[in-house]
Amino acid sequence: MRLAWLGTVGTLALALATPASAYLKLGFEVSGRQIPLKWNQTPIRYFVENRAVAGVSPSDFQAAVARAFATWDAVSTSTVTFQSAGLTSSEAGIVDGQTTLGFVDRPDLDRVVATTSFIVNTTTGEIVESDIVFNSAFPWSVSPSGVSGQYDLESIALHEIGHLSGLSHSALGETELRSDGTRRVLGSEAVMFPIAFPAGNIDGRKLKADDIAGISDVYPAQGFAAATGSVSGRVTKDGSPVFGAHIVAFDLGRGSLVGNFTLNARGEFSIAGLSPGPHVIRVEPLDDAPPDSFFNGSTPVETNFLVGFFERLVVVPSGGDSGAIEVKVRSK
Amino acid sequence: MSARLTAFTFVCLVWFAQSASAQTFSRIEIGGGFASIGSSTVGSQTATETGSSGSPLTLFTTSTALGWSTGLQASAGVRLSRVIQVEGAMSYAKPTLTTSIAKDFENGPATNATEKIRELTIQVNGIVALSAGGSRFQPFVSGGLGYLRQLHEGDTLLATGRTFQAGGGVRILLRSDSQGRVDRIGLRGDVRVLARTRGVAPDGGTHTAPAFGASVFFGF
Repeated sequence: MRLAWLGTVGTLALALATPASAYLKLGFEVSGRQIPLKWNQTPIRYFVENRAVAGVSPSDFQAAVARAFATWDAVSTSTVTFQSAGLTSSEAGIVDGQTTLGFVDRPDLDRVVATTSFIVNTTTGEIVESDIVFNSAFPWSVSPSGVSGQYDLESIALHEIGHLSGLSHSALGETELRSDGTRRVLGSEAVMFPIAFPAGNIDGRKLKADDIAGISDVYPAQGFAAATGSVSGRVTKDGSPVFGAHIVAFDLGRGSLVGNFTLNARGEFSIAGLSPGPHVIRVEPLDDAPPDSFFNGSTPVETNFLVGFFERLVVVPSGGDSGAIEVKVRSK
Repeated sequence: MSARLTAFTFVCLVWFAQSASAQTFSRIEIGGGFASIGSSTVGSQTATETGSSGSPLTLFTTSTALGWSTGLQASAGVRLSRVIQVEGAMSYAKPTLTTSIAKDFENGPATNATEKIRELTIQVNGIVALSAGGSRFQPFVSGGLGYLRQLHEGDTLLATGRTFQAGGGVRILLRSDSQGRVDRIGLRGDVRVLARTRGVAPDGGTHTAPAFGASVFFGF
């Protein structure tokens, strides 16, 4: 068994080429083979560092992350579960054979609120250990209603636990570019969107349809595949495939949004975990967050095209795929 | 266009109809012809994201309608008395489900996304004649309920529901012969309000549409 320490999420984003797969998962490439990350055994045991930071006692910290873990645990269409192993004096982010959540003071990382790292079996992609580190240079809150100017620990933990479980980022969100080059979130419909809501906001405590589809795709419960379906196809511009386009399926009946990307040189995509019924398909360029939040940069992401909609309603069947569609986009 | 053709055919047949002889009481009646169902809005849904300001951010809006369609209809009825008849009826059509997409947050173009639906209804109706007979023109009122079966495009998904209808019409007797195997031949036209519940409607609700029918009937 070969183990390897893998860096933070930004270096791990994986483009899965298998059309039947869905949702952007974390992984790495070995000898041309793409290996997604996944825990093979559950419940996933985790420790919480026995250290206080301003405004957050160890017991507050433990309770807040427990609520976040419980939120993922409660997804009925996913089999992943978690178990608290209590407090530890070990530091998070150190390779010690245990999954630990803790704080570290990194004022130099003034745009990184938290990170997740992994120890994985490079042959199978099995996650052996995963640590989540929260940057104590930022102000934190565990208040039930949030505190203005302070980041909500439960919301950030919910996002990072998604990474711990093997999920990469979702592009379901809208941002605007500030004069200093940073981005302000205007709206988001996925906990796994890479940019957090402003400090004080607690809307990130609730999983959305896109998050649920993702975790259920990685750890599907019995019957999930039979009860849901997928949309697949390709995105082209002037007849050429588009890599890195963001595709969103909108369920007309439920009003839910689930997204994915074109993940290979043929411009192919697949969005799974969708409820049966007609869907509207929307395609947009990846311009609301840095592309390296999603992909590892080896293939350039095409962003020179306009938002477009597929001209047919796409009907998702139960336990099957809609049949390949081609969404044609136009240059800006 | 199809509604006009139906109406034109109906008028032509009436113009060339032979005068009816003495009225005959037919116990069984079967008929076939065309049915047109008007369009109806079947659901509106807004794609929203959780807004950072506390209010939802609209990504885009949708409004879905089941379009006008003309198809085939057939019926078979039993006359319970001079004025009351019970019938079973079927209709088949291919309306288009159209979703109009607008107000995209990033100025995506307003678009219509469509799919073709195959629709089958099976109904049980009660018909009450407004006159006991003696005239070639026999107005009636009707009402009934039934089963709705709609197949999405490509037959990938089935949606079912119920139908309810109420309306009225007129029978025009073209031929009446108490000695023949067929007692009566005539034309029937009706106007109804048709309510469809669930089916392909994204909102799962009940939606009404006007419906028109024209058929030939045979009495035995």
